[in-house]
Amino acid sequence: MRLTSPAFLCFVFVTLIAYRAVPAKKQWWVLLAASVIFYLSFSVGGIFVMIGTALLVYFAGLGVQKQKDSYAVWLKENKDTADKETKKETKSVFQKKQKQIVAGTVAVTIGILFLCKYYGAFASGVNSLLNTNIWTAENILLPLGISYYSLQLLGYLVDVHRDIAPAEKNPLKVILYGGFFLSIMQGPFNRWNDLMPQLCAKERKKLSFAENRSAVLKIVGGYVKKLCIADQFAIISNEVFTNYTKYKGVGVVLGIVCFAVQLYADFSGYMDIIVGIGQLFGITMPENFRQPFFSRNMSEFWQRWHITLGLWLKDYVFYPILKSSLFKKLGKVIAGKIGKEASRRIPTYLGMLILWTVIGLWHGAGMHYVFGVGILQFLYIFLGEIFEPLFVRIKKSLRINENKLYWHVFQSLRCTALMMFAWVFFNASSVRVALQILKNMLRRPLLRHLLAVFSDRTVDGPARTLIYFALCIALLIVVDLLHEKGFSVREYVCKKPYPVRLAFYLILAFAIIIFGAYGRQFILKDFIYMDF
Amino acid sequence: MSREEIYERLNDVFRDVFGEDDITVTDETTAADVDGWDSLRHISLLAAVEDEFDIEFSMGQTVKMKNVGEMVDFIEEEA
Repeated sequence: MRLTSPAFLCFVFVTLIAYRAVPAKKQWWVLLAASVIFYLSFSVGGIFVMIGTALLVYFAGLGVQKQKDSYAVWLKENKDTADKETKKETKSVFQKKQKQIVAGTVAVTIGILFLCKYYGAFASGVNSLLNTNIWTAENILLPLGISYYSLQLLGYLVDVHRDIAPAEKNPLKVILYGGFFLSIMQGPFNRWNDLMPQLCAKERKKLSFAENRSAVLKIVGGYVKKLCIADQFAIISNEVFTNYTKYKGVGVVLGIVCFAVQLYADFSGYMDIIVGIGQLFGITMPENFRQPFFSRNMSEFWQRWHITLGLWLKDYVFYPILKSSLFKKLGKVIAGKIGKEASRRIPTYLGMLILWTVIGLWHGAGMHYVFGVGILQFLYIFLGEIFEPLFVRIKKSLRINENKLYWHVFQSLRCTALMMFAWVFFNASSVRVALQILKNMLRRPLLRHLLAVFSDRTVDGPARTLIYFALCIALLIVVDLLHEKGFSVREYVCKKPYPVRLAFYLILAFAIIIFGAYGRQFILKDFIYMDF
Repeated sequence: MSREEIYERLNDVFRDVFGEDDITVTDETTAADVDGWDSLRHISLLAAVEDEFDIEFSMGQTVKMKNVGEMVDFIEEEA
């Protein structure tokens, strides 16, 4: 059931009616049933893996809670007799048992993720290394959203261990948390404490007419981004990245720019649709984007792009690595031999390298993912930190005023260019292909190659398409600029009188009808991040 | 240890970690108020606080802590 299909819209409509018709206490049952139906529409086999993982995490959560309760009972019984040291020791014994349960569950869940997602790539890698064909990895099931629900469920378990979330007693609620139909496909990564009180609320959240209107507008805006921008730009980027030997110079640059626009419109469009639908159900979900192309540096870019993934990895991977006894020991050794500042920086950079490798691997097993959205991102941030004093000196000698608009524009363009370079690896089928594309980009630009991109793959001629693309980019920049300044176009339109709103709705509807990528001449495309 | 004493020592830790001699933190100070207090420096800061007061922040406290006031509450309790 594609998000862009009429079937999905009917499904949401029916679910919404059922959701609003049943008593508040039963609403989560509607969401659970909808999530199961939605999952089954993609994969029958996959749902068993998803439910199995959720049940494993459910039992592990109860196991962790049992250890906590046992310690609480012991503490109550020995409150007056045990000294501070004994209490500390006993606490650490119970905590060790909790850690064992968490570690075992993490190992099994990541094992399943590895088996389903990476085993094929791993096997073919070993085969090509040994020049044999002994390892076959065909027909391995890839459950929908495995990279999302696995991490989200593990986050819940760790939160139980950290006393952040309570252990859930109802296994069906843990299944709903993992398989919630609005976030199963490509996020956002929810937190138990944020999502579950909303999904299982005992009182109905009443939505005003204005809130419903605002949610619908967000959904329609998301579809405009996906169908009128992402899928139109995809025609060019797919052509350039697939037939990469054909295009050189400006043609390649155009393909790379088109992919950047496609990726942003595709992923942020998806988020607008999902968050908007969530609002219709009275559920607030976290945003994944905050005008990323206005970032001043790469660290900031990743605080604005795929926000919930970054926050999840910070809390559940990066911090535990840096707080591990191994990294603490490393810090102490470095402090003794090199100095205090180095003892802070070196373990942090090592932790960052591990973190970015994990982010690269999360996207896929290919080296082009590990490099493009992993190691390369680490290098951007690491080199930015290392050379910061040098950059400060250069800026001083050139008398650059960092508060001026020209400097912010330069910084934003620099971030965008660096990300476009990285996305060449991300979107190419391998590192070798990415390097070939970059090499072709430096070759003598031939206008006929550029024109060929359009005449081969677009319905309209080059001039019209170029104007359309320029307008789309301008539109994205203006809307993001307004959001950056704290002005919401959606809220502004929602407050306007009915005729103005109607005109705006008609413009969006006609935009989708006229410029949307659908119909016989288009191959329907899934959202890019669904593959992860 | 009084709250004032904790703040006195805590200010020195902040000044040392962030390399700014004029940092003064209060109960309401958050990461957004201190230049350079991002996720990369957060653990370095907590490690320095742990060393200064001979305490240990759990992972739960590391991710839950919302402002300096909560950090001082914990130090007050443990130190």
